[in-house]
Amino acid sequence: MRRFGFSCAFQSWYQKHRDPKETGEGIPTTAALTKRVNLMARTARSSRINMKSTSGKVLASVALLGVAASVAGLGTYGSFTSTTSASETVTAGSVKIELGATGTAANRLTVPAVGVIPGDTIQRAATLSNTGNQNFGGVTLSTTAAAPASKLTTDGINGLQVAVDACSVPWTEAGTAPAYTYTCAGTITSVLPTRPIIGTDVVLSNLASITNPNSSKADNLRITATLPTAADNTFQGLTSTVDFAFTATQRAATSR
Amino acid sequence: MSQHRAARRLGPLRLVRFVVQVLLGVIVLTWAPTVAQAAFSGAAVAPVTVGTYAIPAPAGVTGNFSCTTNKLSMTVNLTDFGAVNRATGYTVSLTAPNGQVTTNNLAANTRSTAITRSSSTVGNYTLRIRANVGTWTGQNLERVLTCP
Repeated sequence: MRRFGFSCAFQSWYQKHRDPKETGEGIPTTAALTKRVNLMARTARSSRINMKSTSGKVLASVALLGVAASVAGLGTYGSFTSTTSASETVTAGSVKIELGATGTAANRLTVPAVGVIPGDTIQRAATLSNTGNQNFGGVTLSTTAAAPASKLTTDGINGLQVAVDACSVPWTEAGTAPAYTYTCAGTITSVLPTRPIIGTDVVLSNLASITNPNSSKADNLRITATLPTAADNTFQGLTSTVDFAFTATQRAATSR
Repeated sequence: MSQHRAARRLGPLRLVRFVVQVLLGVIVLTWAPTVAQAAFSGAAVAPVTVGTYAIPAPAGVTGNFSCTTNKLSMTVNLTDFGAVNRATGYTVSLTAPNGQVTTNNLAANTRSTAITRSSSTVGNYTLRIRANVGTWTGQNLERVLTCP
């Protein structure tokens, strides 16, 4: 059957849906053609695949089953295998930094300073040790003010300033608590130049504990806090506690 | 609910694409922070407490005062007052009933002085003594004096 060059697919569709009243090989009427076109459109709309349709749901289910079967097949696939083994011990290094024992000459940081006036300095010694088994990549100092904050810590210009120095040998302590002073019988190096006391991840330099994996791996530090002479009358009677956190990070990764 | 409707509107290919994109997003968000934080570190913390000085008022004062007969002038002779720790100097002032003030500045090691103030009105005079520490000024020791 050939009608106006329709394709074979249309021919079979036509045979299925044609008007039973239409017989013979003659040319169909305009009404019959209109009816057929409408019927085709309805059929096409109803057969569109989406997640609403049954076909869409079946397709999605088949796809999921296929994926699940593929994954499961990986575990159940059977074949001849051969295995040999060798053991290798890998021990992770440790990065550990410690301050000296609290309250001793190795850590005077916790001794409070009182009665400070403009121009006063507060010196505290602390030993910083590399007690891990690796060099440090670097050491930073983060200082945070405990609540409640005061102008001593919030005023970066007239508030407390801090500097850190290192001595090649342990500092010589003088004075009585809390008015300690320190002198160095060896060589003094600057670890942190004077800056506002509050800071985050401030890099410390010239530390022996970073690059000295032998011997004591310790730094003899002197932390000096100063209240500038420009601090005015509003700084009277204030108290602030500042947490000093020394953070060491690992050395650069190498081939081991 | 709207997402459910949106999903139902998606064709199969769009649905698959959507699922793959979600999975990739989950993988990236899960692994990226882990990689970024992979480093050994250690920390040591110690608190440092700092308290500033609050300059107190002198603890007490000794001396005497006298007035003119018309009570329009007073003279105060201070022989001593309480020393203040870390004081770099003291300020003694006498305020007349009309508000006018006479001030004497004393060195840190001096705690005696004479101060006179006249007034256009009769009434109470006020003696104030305070310590100074550098640019900081302390609390006042205050006495109200009345001519007899």
